[in-house]
Amino acid sequence: MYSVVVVRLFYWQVVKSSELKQMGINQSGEAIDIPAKRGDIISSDNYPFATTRVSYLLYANPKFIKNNSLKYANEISPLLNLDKEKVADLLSKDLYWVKLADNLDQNQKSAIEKLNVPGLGFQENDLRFYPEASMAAHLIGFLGRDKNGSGKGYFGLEGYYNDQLSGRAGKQYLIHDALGNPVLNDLREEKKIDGRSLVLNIDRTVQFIAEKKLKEGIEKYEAEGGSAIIMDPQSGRILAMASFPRFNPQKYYEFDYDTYRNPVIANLYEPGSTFKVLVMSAAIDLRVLKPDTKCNICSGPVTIGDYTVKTWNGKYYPDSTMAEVIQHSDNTGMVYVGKKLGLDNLTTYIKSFGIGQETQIDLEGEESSRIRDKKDWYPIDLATASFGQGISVNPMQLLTAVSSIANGGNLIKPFVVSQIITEDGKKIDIKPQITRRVISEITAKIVTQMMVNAVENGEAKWTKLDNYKVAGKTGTAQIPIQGHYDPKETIASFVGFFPADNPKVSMLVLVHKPKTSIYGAETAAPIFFSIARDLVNYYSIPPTN
Amino acid sequence: MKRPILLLTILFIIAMVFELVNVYLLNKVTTDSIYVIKIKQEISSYKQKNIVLKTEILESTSMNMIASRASDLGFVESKEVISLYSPLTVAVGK
Repeated sequence: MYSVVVVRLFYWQVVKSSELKQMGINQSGEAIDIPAKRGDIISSDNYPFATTRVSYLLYANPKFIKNNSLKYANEISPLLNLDKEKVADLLSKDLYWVKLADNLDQNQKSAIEKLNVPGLGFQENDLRFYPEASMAAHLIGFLGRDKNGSGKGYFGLEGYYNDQLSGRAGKQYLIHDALGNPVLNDLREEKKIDGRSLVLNIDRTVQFIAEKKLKEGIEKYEAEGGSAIIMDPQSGRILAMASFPRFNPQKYYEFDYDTYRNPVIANLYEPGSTFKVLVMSAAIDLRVLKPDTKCNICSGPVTIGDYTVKTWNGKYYPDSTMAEVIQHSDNTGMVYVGKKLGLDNLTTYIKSFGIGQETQIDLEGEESSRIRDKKDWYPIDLATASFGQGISVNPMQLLTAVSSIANGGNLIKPFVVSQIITEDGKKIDIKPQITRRVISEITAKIVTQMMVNAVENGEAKWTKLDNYKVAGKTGTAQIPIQGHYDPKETIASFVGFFPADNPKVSMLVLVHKPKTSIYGAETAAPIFFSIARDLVNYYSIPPTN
Repeated sequence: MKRPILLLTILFIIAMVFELVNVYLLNKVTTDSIYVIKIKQEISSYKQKNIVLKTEILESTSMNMIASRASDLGFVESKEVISLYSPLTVAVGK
């Protein structure tokens, strides 16, 4: 009998102990989340593009306020910018807790506290704060809510690095007695892990310059929008990325979903004449052409099957050299280059330049087209691809490809974040990555010189930067609409880098559907050089001429 | 007989001394605790103020704010890049 009791006690106190303990906790215990602080997003000059500040939720216990709801509503509502009738209605409800207002700052809290209204209380929350408002909005993204109501980053850096920025919430385990009072028995706690912070390559001053000049240009040329990307072509560091129209991440909900997409990485377009430098690089690298090779089909329009290829301005230059083909942005000259190159080589080099593949930049939302299989190409496709039509890129792909000409022939991976700071202060540097060599150094130098010649003597020479050697190319790409091209609407662009001999900056400016002029030389190029003028001052780049 | 009484007396005195020390220390802890709580409240208050000031500093030093303030003060954008190709004399000796 005695042994039976002992065995039974052993069973309940040892074998079943864990299960019974858990049942007890489930009955009278609870776990409270300890929210983790979201990491900051900081510019290279140590200013936070995104940080966290304290905000307050104001609540009231209407049972305390009773018959004085109108009186207190009159006092509180001006401080909350709410209708006093609405506040009075909330204070009259037959509830123990009502929310009056959210996202109040410290000053508003102090002002309300001074009123000494009974029954009011504050709940402290963390609020994502974007001190620069709309600056670099597409790059940063925004913090929204997921389906469970928890904070989640969308688009840009907030989306791409959401897991690292979020950290992990902690838990505090409490046990209550029968009356609900906490019992200091179980002090288990899972420590929270605050989010990691990101230090960017983005320079706030350069970003400001890019946005200011781009906005001025869009207004001047009456365009629908535009983008500007500035990069260090040697390392792939993104120094600035601007697009209009833009949104305010603090009030993202007031803007259309389409505004959130970053046009620099998400919008595909036919690059037009800016693409010519890549095709020319391929031909020079394969030695099928030299800079002084003469085009023997450039004396007039070129017929390919049922199609006729003409120059953009109706002017033809018989026996143009390859340098002159780039200078004049001659479509017939590029058809000649494309024929010399052949489809196999063209597609091989296009892919090597990264066209048709994502750049894998550390931003959420990148899109890319795919290069068609060779069997789907017709002779006219080879011709049009040679001057940048019939092929789609996103602006980041194009700038990365042109930057390989600037840095001596290497395709580098663009990246925005230069350093990650962990929750315990450890710094993890993000290093530049070379994806592959695309063209030889000699080819890069030759094509650079062609691009310098295009700036000095081409259609954009009227706006160029004096005393500096800038390598660049204009682009005026027609927009395909339902199987044909609209002659009145274009995407005007200018891509380039400077100083040409030792490039510090590569840049692409795009202007979407300008109205005052459809041409890149008259819209995107002036914006490019306006930004460049400020950058040579900012970076103290000495003149090269 | 005398020795046990002496021992007991000594033990009693030691116990009383310990008790007095205990009372003194408890008193000190209590008053120090009040002081510690006040300091913690001050720290919390300063932390709050720091957060508010940090927000104000960030808003005041945003690029848009600086550009706007510069414009109000009369600063204008430079339209030219001026290059000095050779040293300029800024001072001459007598």
